[in-house]
Amino acid sequence: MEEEIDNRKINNSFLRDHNYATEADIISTVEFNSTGELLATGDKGGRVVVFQREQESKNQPHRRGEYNVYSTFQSHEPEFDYLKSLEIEEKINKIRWLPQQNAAYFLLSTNDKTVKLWKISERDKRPEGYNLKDEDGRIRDPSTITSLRVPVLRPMDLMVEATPRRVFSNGHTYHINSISVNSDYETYMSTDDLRINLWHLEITNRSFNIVDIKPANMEELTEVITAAEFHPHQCNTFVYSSSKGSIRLCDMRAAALCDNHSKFFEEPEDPSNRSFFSEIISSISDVKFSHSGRYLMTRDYLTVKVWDLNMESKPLETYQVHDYLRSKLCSLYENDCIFDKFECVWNGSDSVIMTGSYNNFFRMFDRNTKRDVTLEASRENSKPRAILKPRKVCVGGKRRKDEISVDSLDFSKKILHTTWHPSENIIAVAATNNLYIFQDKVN
Amino acid sequence: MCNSVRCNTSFLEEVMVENKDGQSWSSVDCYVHERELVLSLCLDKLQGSQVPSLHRSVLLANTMRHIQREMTQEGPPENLCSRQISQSQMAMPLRTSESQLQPPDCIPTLSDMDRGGVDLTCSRCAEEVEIEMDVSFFPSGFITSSTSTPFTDKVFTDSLIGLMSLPEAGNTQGYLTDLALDDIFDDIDTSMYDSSEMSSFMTCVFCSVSHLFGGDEETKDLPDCPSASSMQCSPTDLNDIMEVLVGLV
Repeated sequence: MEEEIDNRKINNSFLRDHNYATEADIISTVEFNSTGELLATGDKGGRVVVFQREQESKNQPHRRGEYNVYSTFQSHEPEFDYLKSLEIEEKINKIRWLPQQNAAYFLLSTNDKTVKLWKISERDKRPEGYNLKDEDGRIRDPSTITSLRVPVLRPMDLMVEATPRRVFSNGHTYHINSISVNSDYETYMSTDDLRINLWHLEITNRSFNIVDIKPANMEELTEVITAAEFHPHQCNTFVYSSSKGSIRLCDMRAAALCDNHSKFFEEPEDPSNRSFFSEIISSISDVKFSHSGRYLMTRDYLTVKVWDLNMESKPLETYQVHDYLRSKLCSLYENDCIFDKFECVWNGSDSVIMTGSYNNFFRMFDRNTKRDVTLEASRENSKPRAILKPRKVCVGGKRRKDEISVDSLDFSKKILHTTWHPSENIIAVAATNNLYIFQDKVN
Repeated sequence: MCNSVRCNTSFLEEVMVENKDGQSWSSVDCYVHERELVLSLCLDKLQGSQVPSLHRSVLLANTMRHIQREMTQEGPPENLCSRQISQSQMAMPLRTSESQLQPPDCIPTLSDMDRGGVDLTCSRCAEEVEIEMDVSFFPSGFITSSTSTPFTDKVFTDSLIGLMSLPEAGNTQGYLTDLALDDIFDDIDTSMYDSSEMSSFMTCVFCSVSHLFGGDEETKDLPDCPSASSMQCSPTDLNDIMEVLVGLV
């Protein structure tokens, strides 16, 4: 399949590459870096695992750049807030890569309270031949040294080390749900339920509060911030989404505190669909700018919406992710699934959008052809290098052979986190504690 | 937390008879029944949450408020009171005493709220009937009462013990376990209640929701409780309440 053409059809023929089972813990975030060479995952245990794509070799052309483990490190540890008697989970909520500026890689990872900047660097040489200490590291007695030598660098086995370079703590009272790196590559923002803070990457003891929706009287609290992101090109622009289904676009040039939005995106509620759960399912769980910066995508419980930044009154496109759940909302409310927060992602050319669902299904929508496909991430249903078969959920009436009925869906298997390579058709899908990487087939 | 692996149709969906469009109820009773179910689930979730999440609590509280608004707009249907009361999931009002209930500083409030007393007294209701709210609505929060009550020696321990068992409230376990639960209800004098007082029951449920996120100020100005005039219950219903209450213990 051609990758240069933007208006290509959705390719159903994603191959499964590898299945990396992270035994202990549930994956809580996945993110490609800006070149797609690296893929980072964070898990509930506070660990970050970074995968690196193999260089394509002429000897094995069919191995089209598979991803192997590059570095693993413990990013966050569980903490206990003694003042409030609360445990602070070590679960990594979000990872965001910084653009690469030298040989080392930098990423931001955050748990509920603290953001950390990690440097991942390679070491493949080490100095040998010191004068004052011998090879074991023991100090040599200076009186025994009769001649001087110059230490030389000798090759060693490649070692990848991760070191925390900055720790941005004590910025948030509430739980951090998003971080976003600014296009100026100097600042980033961290978002919790009620506030958004702007940090400089070099400065850890100070941050600026740019949005604060905490009411003076907490009894009047009816809305929280659910996600936020910087515009990909305009360093003064960002958006944040709310639990009431609205998105606010703010311009940092207008005021120091961006409580007043520049644009307000909200779709009026459809009265025919009103139910007790209308507000809960309208809560936006993820917001993403398109790579072009012209569009916004939002995910609420049942739909994905694409907004044009120039039109605030209604979305440009609405895609039903799993509308068959609309009649099951009471049960989903009972078992708490209605509060699940699904992420959504653009492909590199902004022509296809992807989001997760239940039963380890994930959905892709082609914005140009309006076609969509449902795929499944599971070991049982796909062998390595096999082409993924499209799945279908049967809504009622007669169930066809390969279809799954709504009542058979497994709601404990949910795909909340997905990411798409910035330029190629490679996707990473987190299914509980398994990571699936799918690549476009090679012709 | 997704407890059930399969999404079983709830009992309500079996009971309901839906029209063709699937959205409208064939009888008002089904709608009211579902509304009560959603409401009681709201309370359960707000109370029983192991991991407090502000986002989730706000959504639940908004849902409750919406249902309350709808119910008060409709006005009290007949027998609504007894139907409400018969649901054992609904918390029962009881007294608390400020003197016996000093909130330990280490009890967490929801999502790291500022520390402070959370006044759960529905002051209007308290003036009329001196019924205070069941603290068990709240995932983690504590009650203080600024009004004196006839039951100053009694503590509503059932919900408090439930509260104590939250993981975060570990070292306050010993505070209440010494109390014998039976002693608490020995000398409850039901003659204090008359039928008009039960009407404020429903309103107290919803007034206290507004305290869910509180903690910033010492005293709260409550939203206006709906008029406590119209719901009348007979003394036999009152006995039912007490039986259920004791049964809970």
